[in-house]
Amino acid sequence: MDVVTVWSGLTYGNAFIPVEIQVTYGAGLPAFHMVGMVSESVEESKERVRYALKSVGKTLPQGRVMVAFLPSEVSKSGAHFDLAVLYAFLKGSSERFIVGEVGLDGTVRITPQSLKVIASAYLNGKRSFICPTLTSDILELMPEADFFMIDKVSQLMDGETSKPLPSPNKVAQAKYDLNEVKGSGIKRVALIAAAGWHHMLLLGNPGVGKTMVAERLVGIMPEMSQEEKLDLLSTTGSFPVQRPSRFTSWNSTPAGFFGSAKGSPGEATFSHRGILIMDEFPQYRKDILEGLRTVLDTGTIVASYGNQRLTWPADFLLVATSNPCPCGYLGHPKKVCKDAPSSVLRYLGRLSGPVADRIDLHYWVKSDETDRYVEGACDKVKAVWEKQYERWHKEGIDHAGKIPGEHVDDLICVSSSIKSMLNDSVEKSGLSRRERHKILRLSRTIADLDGEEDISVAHLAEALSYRQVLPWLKSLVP
Amino acid sequence: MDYVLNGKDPLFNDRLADLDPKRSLYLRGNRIGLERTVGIVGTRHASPYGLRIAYELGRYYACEGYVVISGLAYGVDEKGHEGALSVGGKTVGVLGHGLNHHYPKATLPIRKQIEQTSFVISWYEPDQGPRKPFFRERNWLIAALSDFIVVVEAPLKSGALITASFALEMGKDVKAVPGDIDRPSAAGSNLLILDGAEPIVSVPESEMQKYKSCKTLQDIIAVSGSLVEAGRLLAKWQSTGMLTMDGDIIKWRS
Repeated sequence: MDVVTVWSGLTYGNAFIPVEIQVTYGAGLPAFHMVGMVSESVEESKERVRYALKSVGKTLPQGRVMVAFLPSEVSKSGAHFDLAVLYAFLKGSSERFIVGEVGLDGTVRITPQSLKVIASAYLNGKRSFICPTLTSDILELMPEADFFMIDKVSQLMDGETSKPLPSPNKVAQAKYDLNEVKGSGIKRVALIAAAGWHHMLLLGNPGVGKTMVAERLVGIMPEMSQEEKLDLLSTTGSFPVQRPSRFTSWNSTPAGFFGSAKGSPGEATFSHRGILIMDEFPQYRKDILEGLRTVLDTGTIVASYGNQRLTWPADFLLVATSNPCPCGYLGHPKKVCKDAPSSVLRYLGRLSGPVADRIDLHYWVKSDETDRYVEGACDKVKAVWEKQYERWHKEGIDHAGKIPGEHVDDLICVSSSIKSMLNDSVEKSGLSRRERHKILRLSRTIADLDGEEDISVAHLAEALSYRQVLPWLKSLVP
Repeated sequence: MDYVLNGKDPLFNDRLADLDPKRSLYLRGNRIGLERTVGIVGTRHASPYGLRIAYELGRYYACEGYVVISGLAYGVDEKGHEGALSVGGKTVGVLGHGLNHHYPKATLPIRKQIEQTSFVISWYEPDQGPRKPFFRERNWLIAALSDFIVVVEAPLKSGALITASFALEMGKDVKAVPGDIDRPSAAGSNLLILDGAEPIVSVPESEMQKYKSCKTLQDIIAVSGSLVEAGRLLAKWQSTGMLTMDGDIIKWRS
């Protein structure tokens, strides 16, 4: 008999691999085989397909049935191949892209894996799909595609497509309000970080509200764009209702943080284009802190496992929080730090390593700051985003915090008198070139936030003060 | 740069005028003036508190324009020098051995820094190694070079107390930093207070006074003369809550 061909696909990292499924059968002892490095979850689709066929009054062909997944070198897992295999038996060959899981009763279901595959197939040029019913906000992300959506296998026979599901009510997203945080200084720092995409390190004694600030940062950023949402959907398989803000703890493992060899993304990818909070930053495992280096530089995770090479997007805004010392009370207005000086210095040393070196903004959070209500924080941030995009999008840069060191001097203009003043004092105090770049990036964002085109000395001094917190802490150590 | 001087040299401002002119002093570093000097001395095994105060005092006196004199030993001496160096102040190390030796090893990096900006000084031929009685003579020199002595933390039997008694013999002031009453390493300095030494009860914020009249960030930059210095001060005062920024306007905590 002829070979029937249908198409599905799989993702590996952010790579999309189309999978051709060939089905044939012939004389022989009754058997149902699947070849092409199929894992347990794919192998099990035999039974789901057999009974789903039965639900519409069909049976598997008699004799020896063979299903091949090509390319056969790539291992395949996931239940989303069910619908494609079933389609081959029911309708024959098709050029359309088929994704979905089927139940024994003939229902067709969506899985996170299927969503991931659909989104990444769309990004790779596929435009015609047969799939389970999607919600309308997911469909909005892929306006150019033609979806034949079904709830039941029987719809394949009568050709009746389902209506999109209503989008889930936008949960009045426990939208954290920045003004719940008290302190005008810390609010300003949050605005600068969000406006210029500057990674941020919040230092402070226990209980002063470092984490509280970190959690509210996402609330003052503009809504995600459709492209950003699609990116996130295609790598994580979950639809981002709002910009992600992921809270991680220091006991994370590298696989959970960066993604695992099996192809499941980690926290860093889940917070793509959002905020990644690292609580108690110096306590993290060394391999995570070291691994963060390249991720912060490139915005992607590259990982080679065996002969496989994975890439994930991981362009997040890092918000790290930390105590100043092991006991936590260094710099406290009343309490006394009880640690040995050497252990404090070792602790602070972890904050000035190569990773912390990539964090632009340092701030000392205190509990007794004077407070001022911040009006329209979100609009201010949005205005700076637009201004900075306008200024640098030709160079492929959208935020001041992302300007690579070698381009800082070309892309950030400072009047020559101010520049010579900066160079003078930087040289005198022995600051590094990298430090100087950070100061320039920060002061660009501060000036934008103040609505000024020219960077003034006051902007530079403010930027510098965000770089002098660790030296101040070190001076407190005997 | 090495120098061989005697007590009549103008460098010493008559502090060593009574010295036998045949007796030589060996200097290495830069000939800097000794207009106002303070000796910071104390035990080698001080508490973290003592070390911190030694650092703060070194810093404070250097800011005020004093030359900080100390013995380049481990502990309080080291921190006193460090504090002065941290603000770019002048500080003199008095050695108990010849210039070509160094003891203890841990303070060698600080000695190098001192030689860059100020000088180290010694009674002894450059190749003379350290010996126990030399350190007593060294302490005499610290007392002689200083206008007054600050004892940060010292046990009952301590070189710092010897320095203090030399200073008293010369009619100079001795100040002492109060320490914990049950801490043996502070018993000597507490005893000095009992005997009438002036206790140091606070490290004045010398930096603050200069800036109190500043109304805006630009003022601070103007007074400090350096952007980095202004940033450092801003970070420190913001973190300690001494000031808050309201746009460009500075609000000082009263």
